[in-house]
Amino acid sequence: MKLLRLFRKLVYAQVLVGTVAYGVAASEIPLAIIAAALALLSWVVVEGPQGRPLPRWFINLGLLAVMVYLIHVHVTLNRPELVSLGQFVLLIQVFKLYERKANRDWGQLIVLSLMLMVCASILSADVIFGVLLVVYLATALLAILVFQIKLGHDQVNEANRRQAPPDRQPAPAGLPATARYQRQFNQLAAGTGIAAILLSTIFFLLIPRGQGSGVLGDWNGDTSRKVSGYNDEINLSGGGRMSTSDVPVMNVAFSQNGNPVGSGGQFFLLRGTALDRYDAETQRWTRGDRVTRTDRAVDIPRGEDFTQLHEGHEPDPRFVLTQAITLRAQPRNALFAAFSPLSVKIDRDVRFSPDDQSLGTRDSVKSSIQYVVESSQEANPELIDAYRRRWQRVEPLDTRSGGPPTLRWESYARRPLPVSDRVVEFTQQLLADRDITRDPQATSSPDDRYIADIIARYLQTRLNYSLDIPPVDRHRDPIDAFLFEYQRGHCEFFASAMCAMLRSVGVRSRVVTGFRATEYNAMGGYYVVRARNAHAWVEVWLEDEGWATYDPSPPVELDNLHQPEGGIFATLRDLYEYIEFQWIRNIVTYDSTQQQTVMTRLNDRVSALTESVTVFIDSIQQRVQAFYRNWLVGVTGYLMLVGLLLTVGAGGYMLLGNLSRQRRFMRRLKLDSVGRREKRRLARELDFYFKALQLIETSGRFRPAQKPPGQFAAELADDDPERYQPLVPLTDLFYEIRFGGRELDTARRETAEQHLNSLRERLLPVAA
Amino acid sequence: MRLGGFFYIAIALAIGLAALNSQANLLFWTFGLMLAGIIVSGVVSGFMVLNLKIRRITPEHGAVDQPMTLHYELINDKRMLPCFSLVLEELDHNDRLRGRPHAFCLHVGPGAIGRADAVAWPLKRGEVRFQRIRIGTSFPFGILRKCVIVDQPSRTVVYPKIHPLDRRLLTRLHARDPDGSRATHDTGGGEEFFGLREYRDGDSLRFVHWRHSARIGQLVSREMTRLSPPRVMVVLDVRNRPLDDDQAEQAISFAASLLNSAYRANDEVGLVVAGARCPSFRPQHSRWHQMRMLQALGELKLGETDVPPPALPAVRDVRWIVIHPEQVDPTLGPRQAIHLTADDLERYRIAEPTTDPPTETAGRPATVDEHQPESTNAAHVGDERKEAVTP
Repeated sequence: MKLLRLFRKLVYAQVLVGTVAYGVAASEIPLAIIAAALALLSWVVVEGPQGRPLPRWFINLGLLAVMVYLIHVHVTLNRPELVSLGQFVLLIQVFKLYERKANRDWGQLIVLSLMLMVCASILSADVIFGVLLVVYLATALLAILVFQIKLGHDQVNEANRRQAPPDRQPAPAGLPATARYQRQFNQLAAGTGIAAILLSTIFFLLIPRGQGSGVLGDWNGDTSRKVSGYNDEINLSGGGRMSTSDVPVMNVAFSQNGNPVGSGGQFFLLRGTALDRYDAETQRWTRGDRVTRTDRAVDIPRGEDFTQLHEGHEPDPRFVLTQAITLRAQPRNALFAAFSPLSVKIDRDVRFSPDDQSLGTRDSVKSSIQYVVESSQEANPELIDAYRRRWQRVEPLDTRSGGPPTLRWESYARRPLPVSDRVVEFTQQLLADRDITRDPQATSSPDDRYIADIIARYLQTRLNYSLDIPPVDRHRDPIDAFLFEYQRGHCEFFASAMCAMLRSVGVRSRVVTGFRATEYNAMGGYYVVRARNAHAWVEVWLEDEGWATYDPSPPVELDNLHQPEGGIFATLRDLYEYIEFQWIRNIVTYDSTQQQTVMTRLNDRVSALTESVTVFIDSIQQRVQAFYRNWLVGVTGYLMLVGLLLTVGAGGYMLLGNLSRQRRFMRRLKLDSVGRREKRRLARELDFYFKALQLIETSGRFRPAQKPPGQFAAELADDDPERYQPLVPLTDLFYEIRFGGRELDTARRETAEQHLNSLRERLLPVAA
Repeated sequence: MRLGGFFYIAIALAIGLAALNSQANLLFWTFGLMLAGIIVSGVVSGFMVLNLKIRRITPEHGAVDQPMTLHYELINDKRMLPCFSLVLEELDHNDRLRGRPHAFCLHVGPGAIGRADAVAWPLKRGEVRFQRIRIGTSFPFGILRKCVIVDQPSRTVVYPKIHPLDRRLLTRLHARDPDGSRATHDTGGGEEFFGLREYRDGDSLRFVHWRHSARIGQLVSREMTRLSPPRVMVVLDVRNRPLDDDQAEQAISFAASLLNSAYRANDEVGLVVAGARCPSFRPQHSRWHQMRMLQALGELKLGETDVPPPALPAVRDVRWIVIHPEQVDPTLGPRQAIHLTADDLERYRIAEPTTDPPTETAGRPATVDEHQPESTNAAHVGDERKEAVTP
């Protein structure tokens, strides 16, 4: 009966853990808490001493009501199907806990709980969910094992009930579990669990990825709820507040020539999108038509190795930065890279725009994603040409004849912003104060770098950084208001203002949105990029240098804003995020690229192992040959040597076995109270009793620790005198030696041997 | 594979499909785990029934409509792996039993012996042969079921159905000896004075007749009468006439019930069968004697030809009772014999209660507690009434 109680507890634990895990995965914590509370209540209501299950009709009515409610909610709130399905399964499960449960119902509960975890596995890949999944699987394993015992037991009970006469129905038998059973059950459960996990890991590593994705529709969880802080456009009219969320968006490990790069004081700007068009009507920065046209972007199919995005360009290795990026939730198809990307390695179809050097996935990826990008820190004109050579089908931006004017290079990121004249006048005045004049019609000027420096410095020093922006009147230009009225704003305003000022004097520039990676996790050797690290800055075209990066936001305020938190909680958070990062990198984002890497590595390891084994065997052969040369002892000598080694080995084995037996015996007989010498003597002399107990145990009888040997022997002899009678004189002998102060002299030894042999003959198991 | 196994594979395939569709790695892992479950289940349950031996211990006898417990000893010869959730099933259908006996063994440790009990319910008297036993387990996950079939012939005898009889029948028999004449024919053991004799070594001093001894100058011991229980001789008439089998079986059951009741009333009882090959039993009172008679009735074959006429033993001071299947034939048996028919069983039978109180161990299929003595694992007949019926 103990086992049956244990089974019920295990199934309840499985349901509870599954409920909590689903709540975490689907971010439905309140629902999970209510469901868990109802599940706990059902233990008291149904399984308690006074428990009584609810009637079936009530359960069915409740299920019907829940189904109608969930359909209504699903239709009206347009929830993802998977979330609705999970909620439905969760509530069915809770209702089923309140009904009378036969084996079929227990089985249904286990299956429902598994289904719930499948839904949750699709919805989430968080490390907390991973931990809960492991706990759940352990609980489910135990529940299933005990369920199998219960099924077998019930099957026999049912067969016995069927064959008994109707008026002589036997009462259902219990299932008493002993301590020995419990220990071996636990060991077997652990063994099967470990074997299953090892095998599942092998399957996990070997099952091919990337095939059949989305054939049954989009089941993935909706990650749009996740905060990233990033946007692929800038809306200056909204005012409001920038994201200050600490949610990690990505982890980036930088390296240069194979050496890790990064420290607490170093930061990197990770480009997402380059925005070249400002619409005064909507007060938004967007990508211009020229770059959003599909035929100006190239689709790169997924590959197992790096795909070069340029051709014929030999970047200076000192300026090539490699970034291994784990994007936890991809915002708006964007892929991020510091500087201009040279090559990319990713298990997704990628879309690359040579015009603004932005990367993205062709299809939206709602789960975590891992990729490696190599970037050049110098986006010079040679690199732009190299992009053009690589993607020849893309119409070059410097085509001066043909095509719509909007696609011409001279107008790209150069057209003045439709802002107030005050901005233009102010910029010209600002430059005039430094004795600089620039023809706005000129494509480029040697002073462009100096102009950009002046404007950036002005913005950094004269205007204030603030995350709280008052709403701007819709009929008023927000850049104008920022520059001349509020004189405070966040990075988007600074970048917009700089771009507006540069373009007002004819300097080609664009606003870039992305992230500012500042928080270095020394434990993992990577940067953690959070939602609050979303940032905007400016890229300025310099005729000889290409696109140069300028960040007009005040650096001090910016540093303060992006400063990672310190203290013990931050350390703990770092640790947690490190675990989470490992989880995402190794489990969640495992794809065909990593699979290939693992296989290659495995192959290399096997080859290396084979080679080292061969070398080892060769060395052994050489040593044997050398030995043979140096020590010619002949065949007989070798045979004797082998014999000697075997004898020594066998002797050592027996000695160790004997010592181990003695120790076990001493523990079992609780000889702690006697001295060491006496203990050894007793262990040696009472060995016959130990052997007798072992013999008895093979016949399925065990002496409980609390039972005196005499009582045990008497009970066995009463029960089955033909088999166990010799144990009585052996036990008497045991008492004489253990407590009577006698020694095992020759006569006693012979007596013990006789009884032991007699016991052995009687207890030899009879084969079928 | 079991139904649960098919169901499991269907779920695994669904999860595999979901993993392919969503490319969610946790689902791939879950799918891998389910595939691993199939392999582990097959391997573990396969190993569990390897090197597993069984010994069936059949009872010497059973009785119709009485639970008959078959004991099994499962010997796990494996060094490491224990066995769990073993279901034992007698395979060969025997029409003398109601259904096929099943037993359950929760656990047999490595190198240990586990015990299990199956309860069989005999339907008819006669010899019951057991042949093959199937040992199966679907542990650990219930996906695959692994079985071994062990051929192990054995037999037991089912006694006829034994009813508790009204004591009036025996009283009626005893009433044939109102003066208790048999009590004085032998000496020893009783309380009534029988005579005197010379003292012999070993006689109790309490039996020395001191006054007489003093008178004659040597020790004299008293002798007491020996109490002799009533003697009953049962004659069963199954001679080869147009014989209704049911009536004949009821007559046999009547005879067995009478033998049992007489034995329980401490009577000396004997048996003669007319019309079937069966040894004659002179009246005696012993457990062994009673079982031999019941076994003879259990193995009695009806409808045989060329059966020699019964030899009624010459026994004195015995009460004869002849049981006929249908019609009374007064020529069979001594003149003073009581003749009864099978239908009279209904008159003397004490009706059994329609529902017995459930017994804790009667239906218990297994012994799992290796610390428990064997007696606690055996099936018990719980109430006194059944005790009286059990041969």
